[in-house]
Amino acid sequence: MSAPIQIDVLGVTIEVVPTGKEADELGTLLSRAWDRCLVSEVSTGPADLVVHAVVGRRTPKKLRGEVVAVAPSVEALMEVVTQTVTVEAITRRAGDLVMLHACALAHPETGAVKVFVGPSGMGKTTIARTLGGRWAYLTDETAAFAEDGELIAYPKPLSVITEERHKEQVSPSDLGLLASVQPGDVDGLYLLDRRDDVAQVTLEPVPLVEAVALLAEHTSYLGALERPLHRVAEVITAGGGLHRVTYADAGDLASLLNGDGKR
Amino acid sequence: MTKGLWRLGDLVDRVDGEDGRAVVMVGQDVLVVSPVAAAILDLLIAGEQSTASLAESLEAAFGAPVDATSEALTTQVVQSLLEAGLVVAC
Repeated sequence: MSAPIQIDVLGVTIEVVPTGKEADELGTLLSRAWDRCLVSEVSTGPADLVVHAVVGRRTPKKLRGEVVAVAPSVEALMEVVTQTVTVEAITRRAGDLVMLHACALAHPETGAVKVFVGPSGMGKTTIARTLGGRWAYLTDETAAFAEDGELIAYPKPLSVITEERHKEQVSPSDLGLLASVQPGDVDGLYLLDRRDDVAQVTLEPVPLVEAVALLAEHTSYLGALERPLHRVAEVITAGGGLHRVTYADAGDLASLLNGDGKR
Repeated sequence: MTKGLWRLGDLVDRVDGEDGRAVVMVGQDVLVVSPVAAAILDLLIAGEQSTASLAESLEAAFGAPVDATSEALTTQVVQSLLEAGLVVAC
């Protein structure tokens, strides 16, 4: 068994325990890929949750009843670990945080945050990779807001498709993305609408009631929140309203990041 | 149905827009409702009401409809609210 790693996922401390013959290799890869989420030392205290990461075909008998990520190869397991810890953390923060399916970037000096909301396949990871060299990478998965409006960063590894068409979990550091700064106020909240046939970026303000309905579709565990629509509306209002952004290429969105990020 | 009596369904939450529309959550569903529908939900907060009573209040608030009677239009909107679970029959 390799040394476990502790990571902070949306404020949940998760200990990932590599297990099995390839535990050492897995431990090394996990430490690298999750470098932005690592809790300084395992000795900092007990984790909120332990996830066992096992290379194999099935969950070992001794781990039944535990939270286990299992996959037949180290590469596949890296992705399963990402999915498992994300789902577990989101489940544990249900009823507490407004968790939008989104990419978020912060101005490296002011901390002003841009949030790009959209379903899988709408370009969130690509936006993070493309623009994260200029603005600090906060997440490409979940932008989570506490009741006081604070955004909780989740700078997880990015899922990158390799030349061999495998999905690889890559550290944001290895992709050259700027390290997270303390996120400030949300300065732009965008609903992604990626289309191949548009020549330029267009922004369209979305009226509040529609904005709430649209973001509700992209909010994890909405129904677990108290006054769920009000919580979503507060995020929208604090961000200066929701804009639908139609674009073709992530690089075109750089125009939204001009200036110091302050309204 | 025009003689029906209606009460508010189990709304989880509601946010009002500046244009009179509202976004409501019932069960796990989130819906945007028209100003007239939002007004009906407002009227039912006070307690159960008949279609005729709702129609009268709506006509006072929005004016008389041009192409139909208030009661017919109210019936139509109540029916859609009923299907969405936002109002229930008493």
